[in-house]
Amino acid sequence: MNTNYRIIARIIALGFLLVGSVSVLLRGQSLPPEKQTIENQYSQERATGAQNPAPKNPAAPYPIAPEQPFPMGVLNDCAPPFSSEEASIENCWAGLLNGVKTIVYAGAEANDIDPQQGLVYVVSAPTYPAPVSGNRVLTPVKAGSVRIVAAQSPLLMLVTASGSYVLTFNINTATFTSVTTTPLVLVAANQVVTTASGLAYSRATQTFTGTVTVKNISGNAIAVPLSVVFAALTSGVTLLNATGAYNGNPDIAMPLVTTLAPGQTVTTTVQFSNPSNGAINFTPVVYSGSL
Amino acid sequence: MSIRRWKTLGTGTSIWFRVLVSAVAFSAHPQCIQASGVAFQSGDVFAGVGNGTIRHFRNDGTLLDTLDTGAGSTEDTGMGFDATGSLYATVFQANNLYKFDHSGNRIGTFGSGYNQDPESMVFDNTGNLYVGQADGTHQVLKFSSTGALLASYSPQPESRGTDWIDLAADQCTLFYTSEGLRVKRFNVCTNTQLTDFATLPNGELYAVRIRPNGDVLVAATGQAYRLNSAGVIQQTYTIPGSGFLFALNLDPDNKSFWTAGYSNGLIFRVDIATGSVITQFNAGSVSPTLAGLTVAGEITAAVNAPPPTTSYYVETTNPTTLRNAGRDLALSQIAAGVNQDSVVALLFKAPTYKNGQYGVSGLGSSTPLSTVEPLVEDFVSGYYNALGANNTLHVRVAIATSNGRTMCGGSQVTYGHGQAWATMVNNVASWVVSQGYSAQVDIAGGSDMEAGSDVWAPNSPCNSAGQPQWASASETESWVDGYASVFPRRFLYDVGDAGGCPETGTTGAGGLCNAGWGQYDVWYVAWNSPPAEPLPEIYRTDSKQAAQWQQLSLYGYLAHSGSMIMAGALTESGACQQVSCPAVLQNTPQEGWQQLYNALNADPRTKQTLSWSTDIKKLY
Repeated sequence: MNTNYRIIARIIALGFLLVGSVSVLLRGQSLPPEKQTIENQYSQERATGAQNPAPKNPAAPYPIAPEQPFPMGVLNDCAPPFSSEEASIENCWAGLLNGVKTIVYAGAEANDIDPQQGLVYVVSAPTYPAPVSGNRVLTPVKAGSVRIVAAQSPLLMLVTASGSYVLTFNINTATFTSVTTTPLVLVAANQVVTTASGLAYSRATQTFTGTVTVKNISGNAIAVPLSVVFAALTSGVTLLNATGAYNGNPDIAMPLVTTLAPGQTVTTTVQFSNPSNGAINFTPVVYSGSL
Repeated sequence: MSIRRWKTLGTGTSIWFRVLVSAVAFSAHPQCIQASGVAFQSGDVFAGVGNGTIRHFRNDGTLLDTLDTGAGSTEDTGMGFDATGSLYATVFQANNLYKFDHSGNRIGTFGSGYNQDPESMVFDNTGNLYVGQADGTHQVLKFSSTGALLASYSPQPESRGTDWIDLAADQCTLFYTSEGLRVKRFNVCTNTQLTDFATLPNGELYAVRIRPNGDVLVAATGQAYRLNSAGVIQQTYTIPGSGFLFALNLDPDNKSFWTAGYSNGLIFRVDIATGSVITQFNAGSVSPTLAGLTVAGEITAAVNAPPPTTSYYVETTNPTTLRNAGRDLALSQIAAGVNQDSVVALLFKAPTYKNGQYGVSGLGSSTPLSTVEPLVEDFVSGYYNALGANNTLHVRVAIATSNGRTMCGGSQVTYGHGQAWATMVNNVASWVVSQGYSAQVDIAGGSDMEAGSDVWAPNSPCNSAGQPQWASASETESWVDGYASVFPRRFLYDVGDAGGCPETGTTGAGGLCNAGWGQYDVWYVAWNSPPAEPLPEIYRTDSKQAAQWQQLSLYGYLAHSGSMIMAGALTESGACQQVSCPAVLQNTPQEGWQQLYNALNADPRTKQTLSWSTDIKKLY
């Protein structure tokens, strides 16, 4: 490097140092060296940008990534927008209510507040910039966290963590409309017939999807909640849309919030992961009451 | 009983208010009731209506509560709030100052040594309190946050004493009025009288407030004035029906002020820019005067919280929504006259790994990082391109995930995900530079790292029953290590909590937090890692979180190389306004920032500035 280049390099280096000093003053702190190095990097980029800033163009094109579809139904992985300081969320329901995206999160108050107090958040999310609004509604009984197990919009059925209570929630009015204690009953084989469809494989999701239908063949109505437990499920297979578990077996709560009348059927989608791609076997067992 | 004041009405017409005060001072107050414990909310209005009582209103005029000092003073004058939201009220004739908690429950008197007629107050940015006195020695008294008298000052009076005071952002220049025509100044750092700030054409002058931009508002009997920072009148506010303007306070919105008729009890909220009355209501019967006002969350120049930005829980993958949110941030900063650096956190959700791709959880799905990246670019593009001619604003966008686990996807809070996150952050940063946006935008990483002890409920699906909802300390540290392994490094802001960590008594050994975390672990992920810096949740109104983070900073000082430097404070009042949340989590941005600032600066070992304030909302 000749002398002129050294002088230029020193001037540039001094410039960076000065920019860095300005940065320190801006932040008002003296940072440890390794963090100051990062701050200096920002300062360099800022100085670079100031030398040749892009014109401000409100109509400038911007990246368009495909928007993910808004899901519907009871969802296990809800990514709730709450701190653990506020709430513990079990699951949620998503759907359209009067054409507006609506999400109901179910869970309990935070440990630092009252974890025995169940709650739901009803969030109405119209298209931005229309304001997001909603309510936080406490359960009328304190029996721990609540989970949504079935939905027939605008009604949701929830169970408490202990399984002691079944609650019905009206999304439109944001109120709990009933609280019952429902004993768990095995529905006898001569009361229902359960049928499973064939399973379709999706390359995109690498999952197998089908349906399970329960029909009431008795002369009496069967109480809800109604769940199908997938006993003896092939080892290595996972029921991806399970809504709960009973005795170590996954279950799905049927989408029903009133009784299953004689002759009536109710159907739910089932989705399995099956890494071995072998046969998927299970024994469906129907229960009435809270699992 | 003390003499209150005389006032000149028109030319040469004097009335001794003493006569009026004496006539009614001993009449029973018809609405004197005990406070019923209504929690204060930002924007609530408090009016000192005489007989030792203060009425608590919502800002639409709804009466919520009546606080009683028990002092029976005829004039209840200047008031203010400390960082915890406690209310302090001067009680003029009682020669005392009373403190109420955040729910209006009377705690008792505060400070001592008042000489005669304390009338106004202001907190400095370390929680010390200055009190102006109208009579007696006319001295301004300075108290510590615990009420110990620290100093007394003797500014030169004009027509009376140091009636109404305010403190400038420099923490030294005390502005005051003395029932004359001058806005006077005194340097409390050097204990010297300064030149007058302004002499106004009409008076007398009473309550004075300094705006964060240096403007000064002053109540001046028949009108109020707005002066610029050079003391030149910019605006004169005349309010029909207001009578005698005496009190004046700034609303938290920094766009309006409150004042009131001293004798008729009418309260007004006035738009600073237009002078129009936004809200007007009657405080009810006054006995005999409405001599003091304050507003919860009131802006003061002395406690110089930075203007807050809006951060987001990002619940959408719509590019236009992100772009418009960025645009709206720029427009709101321009409209508010912000001219400094700021930070915004975009909180995407828990880490995922699906179909061979790292991502974040969404509603029942996983969003790959290849989608997160352009969404952030949309936000940046919206922000930068809405700045117009503004070349001074600057925002740092922190792209954040969390240490949350998913019910059916388990924990992907891994070293590999941390690496992938840092790579994505660098990709966005390179894009910002390539677009020519980097003079006014830069990019950082972030994570909502929480020491959460929640577990999934019994009978939850996917074998999750009893499993933790938040990653362990070791998993989170591994994720942070992965992030830090990518060069060039960019800051990693911890926008999480310090759940269960000690609020006092920290030693070099470190204390325990929730879920097996210790102070060491929170310190590690929030500061010890080279790119890490805290921008913590300060949601709680009881200052618990501010205390936890101050103690973490102290832990760094005692056990390691030095105290932690905080980037700022994160609050969630915006999210709480969208969807109701517990009252204990409703800190305003000013309150959250001030709590953390005061906690840090109460201890010389953790003393520091606090650059940023941001408040989170949900974006769908």
